[in-house]
Amino acid sequence: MADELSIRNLHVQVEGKEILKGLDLIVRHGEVHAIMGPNGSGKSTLANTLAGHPKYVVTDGEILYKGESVLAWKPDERARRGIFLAFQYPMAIPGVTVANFLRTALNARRKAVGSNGAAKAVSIPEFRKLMLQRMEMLKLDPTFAARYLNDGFSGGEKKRVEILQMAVLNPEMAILDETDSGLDIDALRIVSEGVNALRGPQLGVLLITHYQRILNYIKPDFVHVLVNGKFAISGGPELALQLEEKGYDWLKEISPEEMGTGK
Amino acid sequence: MVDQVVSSKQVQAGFSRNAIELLSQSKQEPEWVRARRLEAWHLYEETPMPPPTDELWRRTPLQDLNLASVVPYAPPLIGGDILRALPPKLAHAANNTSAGGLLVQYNSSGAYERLADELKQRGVIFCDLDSAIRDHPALVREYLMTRAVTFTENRYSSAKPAIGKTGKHEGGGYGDTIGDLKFTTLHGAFFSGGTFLYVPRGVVVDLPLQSLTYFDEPNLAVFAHSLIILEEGASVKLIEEYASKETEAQRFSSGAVELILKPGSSLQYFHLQDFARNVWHFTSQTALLERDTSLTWLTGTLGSQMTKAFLDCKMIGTGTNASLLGFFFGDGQQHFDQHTFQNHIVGHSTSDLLYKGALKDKAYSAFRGLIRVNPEAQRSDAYQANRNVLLSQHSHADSIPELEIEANDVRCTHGATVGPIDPDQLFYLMARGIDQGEAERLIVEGFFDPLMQKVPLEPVRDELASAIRAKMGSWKSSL
Ligand SMILES: Nc1ncnc2c1ncn2[C@@H]1O[C@H](COP(=O)(O)OP(=O)(O)OP(=O)(O)O)[C@@H](O)[C@H]1O
Ligand SMILES: [Mg+2]
Repeated sequence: MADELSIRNLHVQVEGKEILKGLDLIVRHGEVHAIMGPNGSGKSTLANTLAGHPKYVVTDGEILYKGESVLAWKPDERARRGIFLAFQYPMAIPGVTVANFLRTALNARRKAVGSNGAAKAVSIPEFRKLMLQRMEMLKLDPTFAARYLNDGFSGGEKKRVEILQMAVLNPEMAILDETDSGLDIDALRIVSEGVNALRGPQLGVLLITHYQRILNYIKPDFVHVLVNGKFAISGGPELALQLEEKGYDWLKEISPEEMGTGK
Repeated sequence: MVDQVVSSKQVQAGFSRNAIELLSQSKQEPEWVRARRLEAWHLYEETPMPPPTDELWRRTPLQDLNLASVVPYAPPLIGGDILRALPPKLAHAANNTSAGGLLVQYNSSGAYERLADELKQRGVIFCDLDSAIRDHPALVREYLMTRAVTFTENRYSSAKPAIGKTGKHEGGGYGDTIGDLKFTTLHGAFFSGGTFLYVPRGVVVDLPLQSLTYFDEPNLAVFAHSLIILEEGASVKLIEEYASKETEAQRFSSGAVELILKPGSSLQYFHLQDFARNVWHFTSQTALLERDTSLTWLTGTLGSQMTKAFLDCKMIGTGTNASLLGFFFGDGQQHFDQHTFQNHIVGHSTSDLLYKGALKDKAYSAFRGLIRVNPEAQRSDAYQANRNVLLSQHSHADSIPELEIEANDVRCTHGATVGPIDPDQLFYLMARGIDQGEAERLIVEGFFDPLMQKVPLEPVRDELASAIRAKMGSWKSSL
């Protein structure tokens, strides 16, 4: 079975309104795909749909992961199978500490990975070691472990903690929805280095961004531009530079034949 | 009846004057106590059972309450080790050295007491109420149901009618209500056992004190009374827990709590109720705050079939600061009906209330929070928030703030929410691989966590956490 996420002719509605209007895209393990596009074009809708948010209704098309349809899987099952979404707007969960939450999530993921009987829950000392090591990598103060999840965190802190979760849970298909927004220049470098450290043949990345800057750190293999619920054009890393210079307006003049279809 | 303890013979069912005489005789009480009991009984007989039309009782109908079959008290323990007879969830108390003292009330009487020598030497008194009547009669006589929980005034009735012209309750008055009088008079007639705590002037007690009330006698009615007195500048923390054994028969509990804070004193009081599901529990609690006092008052309601609670925080001195906290979690057919009263009698005082509840299955909660600021009580700050999470379709919560603000220089806010778990919070946790049941458990535990963290004994926090987990049901150990 191919280690890939395959999106075919995806149509998605939110509250009765069609937002995604036929997307095709294949992300293989080991690849980084950047998705850019104007505000409201449907980037987060795609991210939330992949993660299984119940509000996003797939009306047509298919999403396959490693050859299996994910559509019937609940969000937790998708996550346990290795799909990870770093949220554009992470939710605060007051009263639940970062450490408690992460350990619960890690145990859920490990149980799934070791589902052939090898399921071993992580011990508390082992977990602490892992968490602290990942926190250090992301230059997060260890006191964050005891804080309530995202409760009162600054915008940049929330984004860092999203990547902390990714680093602890070790997913196979990571969707990063504007993880760079709200990060200061140093934090952007630290977080990017964190993501790069996790890159490898076992990890596919779908990186949603508005800015070229993060792509200087996390070099994409492909760049796709989403306009009004469809991919307007796809290309290599140079496409992002072009967009930085020219904006999105010129895309609206491209004829349908020239449009990319993802990959 | 647990086998580690032995009591003497049975008492007849039903409340009567004769039962009071027998109770008083068996305790060999002084005449003034007997007289007070009989006075309370007289008032009880004169007070009608609150009808369903009573504004303060219409959410809690009493027709299924069967008082005829309950036994008014149980004779004291005459042998055995009560600490070994405690149910597993309270067993931690027996060897918890981080508490400065421990009392256990078993059925109707005190059965165990321990207080650190150092605290005894500094004049702290911590014993059951019967012992206090015997050994410290002047103190008890002065304070027992004379100032805080009394049955001579009806603090809830008001000249204003409860029902306005619209035919709906309009707030600002309960009209001609019986309030808590029916059950406080009964309590005044039959109180037994309970907790007496006296902290002398200037004495600061660091280690928390703990008091347990446990009953297992069939058909028993318990009347636990807590009388807590802090002299000027005193400071103490007290955790009280209530539990009972599950049996078929309906059981009855009518408790009273009196918290008396002299100027400059500071009290943290925790009242944690986890009775079995056959108990009808009535409780009247009053705190009396003199000037420059500070009170943290937390009630936890997890058990009972029905709980009807009246909590009155009376600020009679300036510079007082009261934090009223509550958590409750109802499941099955549990029914909780709680009234809080932020009673600003004089000004320059702050009351801040936060009650949080979760309800599942067919559980019901009514929360009525009254804030009254007298015309003389300028510069009062009163805040109130009640948050309810509904975990099932058939659970229900009514949340009713009531404001009677008669001063103009006042800061006052109130807010109530009733609703399911936020679906976006749920999605966020599930998107990390946590299944729905576990995600809901985390969110609900998190919802209560800031209140749990206030409880100053770790074994008690653990006990509460496992009670909440058990209620969430789907819990599996994540270790
Ligand atoms: N839960 C929702 N309820 C209603 N409308 C929604 C919801 N989610 C998305 N939409 C609408 O769908 C469209 C696409 O939104 P989406 O968040 O996917 O855009 P985006 O490309 O991520 O934009 P941005 O760059 O601003 O993050 C917008 O018009 C948005 O208002
Ligand atoms: Mg977006």
